[in-house]
Amino acid sequence: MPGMLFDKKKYSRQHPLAIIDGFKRYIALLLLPLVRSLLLFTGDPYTWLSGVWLDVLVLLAIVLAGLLRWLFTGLSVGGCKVESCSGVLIRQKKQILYSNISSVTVEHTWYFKPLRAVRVRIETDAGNKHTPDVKMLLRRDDAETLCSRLSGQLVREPVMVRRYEPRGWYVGILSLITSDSIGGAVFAATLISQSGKLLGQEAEDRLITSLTRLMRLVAFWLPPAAAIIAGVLLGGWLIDFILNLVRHLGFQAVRRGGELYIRCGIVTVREYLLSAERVNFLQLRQSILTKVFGYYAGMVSCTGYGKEKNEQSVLLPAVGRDDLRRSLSLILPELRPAPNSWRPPLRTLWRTVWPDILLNSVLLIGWRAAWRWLPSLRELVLFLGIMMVLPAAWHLAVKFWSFFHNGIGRRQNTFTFRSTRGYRLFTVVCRADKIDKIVITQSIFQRQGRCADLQIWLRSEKRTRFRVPNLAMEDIRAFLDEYEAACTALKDHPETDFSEDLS
Amino acid sequence: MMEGRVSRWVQLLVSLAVVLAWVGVVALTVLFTAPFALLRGWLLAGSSLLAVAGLVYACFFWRSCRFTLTNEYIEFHNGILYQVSRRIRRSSIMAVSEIKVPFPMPGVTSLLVSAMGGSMLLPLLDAQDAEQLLQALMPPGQLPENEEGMDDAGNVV
Repeated sequence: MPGMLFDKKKYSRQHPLAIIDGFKRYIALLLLPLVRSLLLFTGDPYTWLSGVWLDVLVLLAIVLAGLLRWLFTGLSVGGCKVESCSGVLIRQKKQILYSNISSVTVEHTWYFKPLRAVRVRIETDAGNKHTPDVKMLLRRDDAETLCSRLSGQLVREPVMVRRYEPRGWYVGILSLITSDSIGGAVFAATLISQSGKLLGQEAEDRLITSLTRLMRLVAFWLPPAAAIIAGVLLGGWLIDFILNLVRHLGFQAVRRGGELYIRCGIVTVREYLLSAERVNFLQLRQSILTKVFGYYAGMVSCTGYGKEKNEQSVLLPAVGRDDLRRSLSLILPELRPAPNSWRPPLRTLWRTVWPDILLNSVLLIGWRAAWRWLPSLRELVLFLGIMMVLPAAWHLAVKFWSFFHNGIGRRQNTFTFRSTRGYRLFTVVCRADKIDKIVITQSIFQRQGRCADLQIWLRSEKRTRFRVPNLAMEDIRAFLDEYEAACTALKDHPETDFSEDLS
Repeated sequence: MMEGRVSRWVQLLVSLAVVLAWVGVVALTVLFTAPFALLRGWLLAGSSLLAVAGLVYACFFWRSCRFTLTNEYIEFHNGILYQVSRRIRRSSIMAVSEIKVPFPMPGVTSLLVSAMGGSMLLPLLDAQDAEQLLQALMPPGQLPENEEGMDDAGNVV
């Protein structure tokens, strides 16, 4: 029967670990009670089995389902295309041309390393944006064959290999920039609840009590509510920082012709093989602090790269201003930022900053009033005031800075958009034909100032848009003309020679 | 190049919304402001004035909703007080969906133009315009009639 549905000569099966890989969470939940009951085994198998028969049955059913799925799932790596087959009752076959593959991810999870099993994801610009086109647990040799075939398609002639390896502390800066409290807090909450499930309620309660005691010890001079909020934020951020650091240490990017190879991680190593032609855009992120020190974090958008939970699409973990130019010329010469050709005129400065000035004024007046009228709660008022005014003042500084940062530039057929979102300053570089939609919005007040906001929607799996506010109308018209000219040039000459940059 | 406006249904729908809102305000005013004759008079006069302004706005709003199709891009412009102009290049278009409204609105079709990075709705177009746009955006000659699969060289056959 399997022979009829599965062509053994054509397809190679997944690694046998795939039988239990799909159900590993449930298996852990089932195995722990089983092991516990085995430890209490008194010598009478009938008595033991009468207590755990349901667990054993469910476990067998799960393993059987995994076995069936493994039997009928396979991958065939051909000369010009990859074919996958899956499904037991509803058979599904997928054929993907190498030329349509955007990225291949090979994940060496630490606990699979001794067994030479790797997780592989194949992605194209088509398909579901939340799940990969093909996802399998393969033998390492099969994954290597797939990667070398794809490499052969992307690198058709001998080319120079260019490697970029950032210093360790650059990765530290990236973790510093990208870590947030929510990610770490969610991780900690999951850890605590999972420990409760696996080790019992008592262990979970003990852990929470210890954490509460630690919080009281550390933050003895703060009100309890403030201490808990500060503890969650700081602890969450610290956890996320460490996780990001572990994920990105050992980062390296290699450019070889049309192939962009990225490798990162020290515990779980991830390798990405991207088609450079299918890179949608380059995004450089900065905060005010990193801008002052002249550092950038570079992300790249390519379908499948940085798509999974807790992954980031890093290209340059952190680089200084001079290193940025050198590193980009090395690994992505197609997308290098250009200086602003069109920027918001000075007459729109007030329009940019007035909401923040108003917010700061209201907060300061409110804080002062609360301080005066609530003398018994001054400790709390002081804390809450600082917590509210500091972010607002920081945002005002970002807005003010953003006015001089925002704008649009052009280099050959690529455009550079500089914009701000929240507390971050963005510089986005993309080829003209990767801009999918342009939206121009103009309020009645902007019409009087002869300016408008420009929204750029870029080709990407996730809908990505950047807003360059308050550009002069004549600048927007000039940009649209140049955009059309660049698109026409790309249509006439799709292959652009970057040998000058590569040398 | 092709230029056009959305159907008059846009004006009718906006006008209908304005009239319904006005009727609501009048009903509430009549019911709840009985002891305050002066306030009632002001509210009725103010809401009537706003309703007339709304009806005039509906007329101009309809005139502002226009599309342009060139060899390079398709553009849709709308708004009076807050103007919005959306543009998608024809080479970026991946799909065009025809949307029929769920209640009877004869001779009216909406088109949803989708690209990978975003989409654009052309609402309540005259069926004739919608048909012309569809023909221009998705010419029948470009559609593969018989998609069987791929040969070993990877070509669609």
